[in-house]
Amino acid sequence: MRFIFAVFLFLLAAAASAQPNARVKISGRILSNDQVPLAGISISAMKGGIKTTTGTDGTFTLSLVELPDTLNFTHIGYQPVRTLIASPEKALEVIMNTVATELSQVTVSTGYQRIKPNQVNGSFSIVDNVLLIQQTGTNILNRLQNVTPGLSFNPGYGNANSNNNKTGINIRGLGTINGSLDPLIVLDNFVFNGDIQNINPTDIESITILKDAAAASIWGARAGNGVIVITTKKSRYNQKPTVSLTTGSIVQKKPDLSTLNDMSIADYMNLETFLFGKNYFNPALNRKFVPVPPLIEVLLKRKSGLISATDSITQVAALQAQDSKAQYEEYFYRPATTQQYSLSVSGGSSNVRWLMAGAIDRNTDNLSTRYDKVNLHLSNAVKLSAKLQTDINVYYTNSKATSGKESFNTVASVNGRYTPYLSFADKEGNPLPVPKYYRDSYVDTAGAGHLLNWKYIPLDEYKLRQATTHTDDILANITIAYKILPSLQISVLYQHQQQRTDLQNISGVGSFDARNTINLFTQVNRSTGQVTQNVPVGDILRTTFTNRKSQNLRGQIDFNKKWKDQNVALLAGAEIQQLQTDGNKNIYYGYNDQPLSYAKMDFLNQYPTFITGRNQIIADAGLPPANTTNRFVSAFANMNYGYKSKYSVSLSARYDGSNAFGVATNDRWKPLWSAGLGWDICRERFYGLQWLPQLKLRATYGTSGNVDLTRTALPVAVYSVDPLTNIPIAAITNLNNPRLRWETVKQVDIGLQFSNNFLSGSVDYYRKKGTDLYGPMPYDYTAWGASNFIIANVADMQGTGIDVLLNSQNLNGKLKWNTTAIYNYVSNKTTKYYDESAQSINTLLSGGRSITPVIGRPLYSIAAFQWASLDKAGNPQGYLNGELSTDYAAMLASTPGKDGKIPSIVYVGSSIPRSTGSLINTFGFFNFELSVNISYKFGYYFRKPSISYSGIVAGAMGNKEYAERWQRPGDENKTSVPSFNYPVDGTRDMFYAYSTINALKGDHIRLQYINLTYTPVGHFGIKALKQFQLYANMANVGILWRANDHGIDPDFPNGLPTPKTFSAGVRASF
Amino acid sequence: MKHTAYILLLGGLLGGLVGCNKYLEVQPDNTLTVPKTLTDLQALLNNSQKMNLQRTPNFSEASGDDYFLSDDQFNSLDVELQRIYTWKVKEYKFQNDWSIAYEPVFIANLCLEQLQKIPPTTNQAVWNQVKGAALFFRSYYFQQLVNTFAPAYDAATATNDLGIVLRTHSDFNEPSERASVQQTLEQVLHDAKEAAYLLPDLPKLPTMPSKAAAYGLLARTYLSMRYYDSAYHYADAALHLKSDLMNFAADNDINSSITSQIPFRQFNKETIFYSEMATTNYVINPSTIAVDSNIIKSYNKDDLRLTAFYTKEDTIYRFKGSYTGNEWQYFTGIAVDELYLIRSECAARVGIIGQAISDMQTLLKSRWNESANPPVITPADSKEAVTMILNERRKELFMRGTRWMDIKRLNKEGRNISLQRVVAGTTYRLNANDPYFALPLPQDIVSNTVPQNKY
Repeated sequence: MRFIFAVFLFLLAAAASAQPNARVKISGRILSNDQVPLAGISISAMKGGIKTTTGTDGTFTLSLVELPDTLNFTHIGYQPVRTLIASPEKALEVIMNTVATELSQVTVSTGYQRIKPNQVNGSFSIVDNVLLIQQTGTNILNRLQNVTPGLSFNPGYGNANSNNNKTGINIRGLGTINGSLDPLIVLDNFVFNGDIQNINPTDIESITILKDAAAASIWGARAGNGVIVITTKKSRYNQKPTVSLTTGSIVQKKPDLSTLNDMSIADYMNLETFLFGKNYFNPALNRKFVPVPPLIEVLLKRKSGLISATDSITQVAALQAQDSKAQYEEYFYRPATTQQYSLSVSGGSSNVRWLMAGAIDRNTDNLSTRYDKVNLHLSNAVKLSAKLQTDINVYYTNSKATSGKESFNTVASVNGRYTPYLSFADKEGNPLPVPKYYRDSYVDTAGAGHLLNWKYIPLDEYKLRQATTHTDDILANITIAYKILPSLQISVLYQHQQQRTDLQNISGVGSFDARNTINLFTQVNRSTGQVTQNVPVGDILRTTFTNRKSQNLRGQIDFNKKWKDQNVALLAGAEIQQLQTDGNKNIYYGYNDQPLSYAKMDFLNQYPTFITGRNQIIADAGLPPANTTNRFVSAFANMNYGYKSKYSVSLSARYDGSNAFGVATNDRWKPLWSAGLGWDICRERFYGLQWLPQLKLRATYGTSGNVDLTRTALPVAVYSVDPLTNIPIAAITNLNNPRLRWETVKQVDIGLQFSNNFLSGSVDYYRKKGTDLYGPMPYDYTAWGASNFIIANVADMQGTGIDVLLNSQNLNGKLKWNTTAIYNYVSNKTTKYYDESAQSINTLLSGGRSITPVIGRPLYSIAAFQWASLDKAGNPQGYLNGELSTDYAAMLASTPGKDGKIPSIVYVGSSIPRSTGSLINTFGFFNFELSVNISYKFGYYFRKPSISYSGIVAGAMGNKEYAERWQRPGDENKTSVPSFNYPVDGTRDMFYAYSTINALKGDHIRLQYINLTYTPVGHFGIKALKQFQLYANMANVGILWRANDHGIDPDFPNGLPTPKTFSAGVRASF
Repeated sequence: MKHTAYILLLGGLLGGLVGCNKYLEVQPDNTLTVPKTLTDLQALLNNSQKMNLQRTPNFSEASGDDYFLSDDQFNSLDVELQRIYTWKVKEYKFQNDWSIAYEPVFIANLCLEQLQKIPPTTNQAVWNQVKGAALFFRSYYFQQLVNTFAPAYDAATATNDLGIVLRTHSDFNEPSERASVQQTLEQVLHDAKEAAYLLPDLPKLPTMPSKAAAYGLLARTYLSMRYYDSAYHYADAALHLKSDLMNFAADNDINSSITSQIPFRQFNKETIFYSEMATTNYVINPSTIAVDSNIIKSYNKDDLRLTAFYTKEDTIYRFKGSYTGNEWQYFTGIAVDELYLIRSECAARVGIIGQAISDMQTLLKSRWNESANPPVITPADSKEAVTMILNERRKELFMRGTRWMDIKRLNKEGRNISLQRVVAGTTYRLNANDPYFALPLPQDIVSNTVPQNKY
């Protein structure tokens, strides 16, 4: 950008030099590169010694002796600018850049104000456009991964459907146990309530992450987990129209099912044969319609003498030759593709700036799920007068998502039993039926020709049964700012967002879903042959429409005043927000779209169903989505006082209220505050470190709260309609706990910022203390019965951590080499819990993927049964009272003794990494730039998936270690996989799964992405082309090193890691 | 100018905040409510998912002697479930029959508390109905729990025998304490009697309590206590309100044919109060258990119950005759057939043999093949009549959740019913009056005030 600007100035100068002139007045304005007017800039002309400084609004006027002349613009902290003045007409606008040694050239956007990084005492990270475009994909949040200190992504921990952990993103670890874990997401000025997918990544200029209490406290009660502020691109005043074009495509490989560590097909077949011998399948076989795996059908035919021994062997061999996984990879998986196109036009005159941007995305995933999206963005700012400015932004998103093929687990199963030897297509690729829901022998004969075909054909089903979601999202905001006085500005901001989602789920008459429903409600009179179809033959259409509306209104006063040695920046305001949702649902049977028709149905009376004769009501659409209204009211104030540009004090306070349900009025309001101190040591006289010209120390303290709006103190009943009796009913879904209070999190942060010519960075140390945290508390469930715990303010926790960011310029010659190193250390532990028994580490015998508070232990952690060895019969052994034991129930119930004997259960460690970080190396050589991001996670454990015999007997997928199980005496010396015993003992399986031999270190180093750009000089002689760049990127490259020697990816212990993606594209601007 | 601006701004902001409390009064979700009105309380009690379906204990039925498991079926169960079958349960935790049955108790208590804040004059009829329903549900589940977890009632020891926890408030901070069997049954009877006074004769839907249901519950409770005259009285009172029996030979409430896989409609005319057995820790899945062959042998060839209730698979019989209209659930509610059996048995015991025989004939006639008549029985004495009626009781109330209670009460009068199971050649036995007939409480609710049963 700077280069372009220099070229621009050069052209200007060249043009001007052609027409010399006499003594003239020159006026203009000086702005920083982020459009902030710069005051106090020294301006001197080369001729006649004329000098001046800019006023508070950045303007200046001076009279030159003669033209041409050259003006020098200088100020501490900014790169000097020299401008040749040739013509008197133009009002100059000069942009000055901060010096390179500044920490960052981007401003910190808190959503309430934009400030220079060095004016902030709080802890924040900024991810600028350069880093954002190094990763590709359609979700903007994913691009923060491994490029942001203090931010951790925990794959497998987040869940889009959960209320508390939608993103799986943590800023600085945890501040709560059962409260929300998601950071607050802010788009420009307001909390973003829409779907994050609707934000167009190419529209984003930068992202600021507010990490500590002082930075986040302005956002109040919902900022306890930090704030992510997304800032969109804006145009500039006095900018020539610029067109930018970006296109790219991404290809993701097919997932590799062989990473599932599954048992061999032969092992499954042996197991099924064994179970058949034990008559395990009899209850299913007795109910003639319940399907059994194909092998069982063969064995049954052989047993009843329907086929010969030779036929049986041939048929079994034929089944063994089939492979569900290979077939699935061939017929279901496709490489995923994404195409992104975006175009933006922006420009500005002296009092108007505008931007129009559009983007089109087309995505197809591995299972042919399609997602197409169009984004439009209009932005327009007008200076109506010197005092009054308006800023209008409109974003519109339209998307369409179409469902794809069914998952492997859905397809490769027979009546819920995983079957690895199915065939989904014949040799010519024609789809084949799979007996997933009904037994072939039943559906072949049941209807005697009166029913629709009742077979399930997975390769056809997804084409005939499709869910289409149309989303329209419009977000518009307006800001009106009025400068009452040069130092005092008032502004009013309003935003309206509306997202309409229309889901159409159609099961075509040919789909199994429709055929099955129709057949179930068909009655055949055997004697007359009369057929009654209570559900008519036709498509079944289910629709759900949801509408989300949010409105924000904010009034704000900004006061900025500078005296000789002091400066004050004051901000105060109030805000109200309303979020509303409503919707409706419908179902149409016998639906036909051409010509449009459907059948009237009776949803009141029961009809007999075909298979068992059981009477059932035909399913209606059910209750529509609830109408919800959430309201928030807040008042906030923020003050920053600086003295001699050396010392600064900041204070922030906020008062929040909401209409949380069932909450007593005085609990609706929560005050929160924070304070901070900053000290620019490098500006002190005694400071003498020549090699480190910039050094700042800052410290903050603040409180933030957490309120879970679903936790109420009064008994709340949820209304619905009784599925059995069709009358209105209510249910108590949470036990009322009148003693519930707000959670409080206090955070201290001490940070150091430094930079010199080749190195810059920051180090932050923080401590978080959470009190009155919500947690599950076991109680006497005789009181309620529906759950064995209730939510109460049960726990305190404490967390400490270090965030380090280092940027270095290692080489700056022909070969450029920059390194960004990020290191995060997080450690947390429960410091108080509701009672003594919670100190038992036995509760940590779980997957480690949910928070389990045990005093003195990390919130996410695991314990394990101390493993001894297999005994002579292949049973896993542990320790009970220091002795070898196979009494699994007793070991599970045991408490660690203080007698020095080997305990039954030992604490293993944290199950989320304590140390994480990444190393981004960027090499520039001629026109090429190569970035390599290597990330690492250290200091944690995970459970290795192991064989569960009760699982495989019941029909779950097994584990390949089944082949290594104990089979005959002596094997205990070679293997640690227990013998297969029948009947199965779930407690024995659990002992083995949760024993120390299956708790592995999760430490690993991963090559996250490689990004290559090529920026040709000269742009092929096309003058209009300002910027031209080609890029190629490879992501999810793979693991470079791991601590476990089982080849398991600890982020994906159950297999199926995110496949590699490749992307390439062009960025150009005119 | 300067000052005016500040004042205007601050004034505007403060004025805005004053109105905020009102702004925050709006209800956030139209499906939510803090139950306060009679309509809310009715909606809570009408919730069949919480109050009726899969709620009554199955631990007792699974410990009973109406069924058996083949060795293969036994082996296909997890070790924990096998212990239920062999009467060796020691420790088990949430979720279980105890927790499942106490949920309707909580709702009943919540409704009774909220009801105190509503003046009855608001709508006396509905108010009575809500109170009656809440009392009935509490009484009904207390009675189910005491049958499962406490010893049989014995007037001599009932004040010392451990009963169940009588929770009568919704506040979970109130500690639980085990009452005696005497106190438990007094509470059951007291609540049921008050409910009978308040409730309408017959319900709008069988999932809702009624006077007939409360009488039925009282008859059942007095029967379990062996107060046969009282049991007679209440069975009789209930039958005066409803005495419809399905005709197994031809009836609107029978699906196509009595031999079909699901012969009876849900909410058939015999159903007075509808409840289903819980399916947690499920040993007695209808598709895996086999019917005791002695029961099968005891049916007359013209008795339609043999084909209505059972289906033959190879050599064994499986049960299919539930009043739930569903192949997976057992009906445990109060029905007319059970009331006939109670009245008949109690009539025989108190010496009204004629009534006993006529009730039995009425019931059997409805179960019989149209072309034949049930055999006319002339018992020599009251004792013989009782034995005969008890046999019919077992044949009629198969898997209805009453067998465990019957074994316990009958052993109290010396019928010496010992249970025996054979698994892979090993014989397990549960002797008459064994302390295990009061089944163990879940380990995670046992405390100083809620002691475990002693074995």
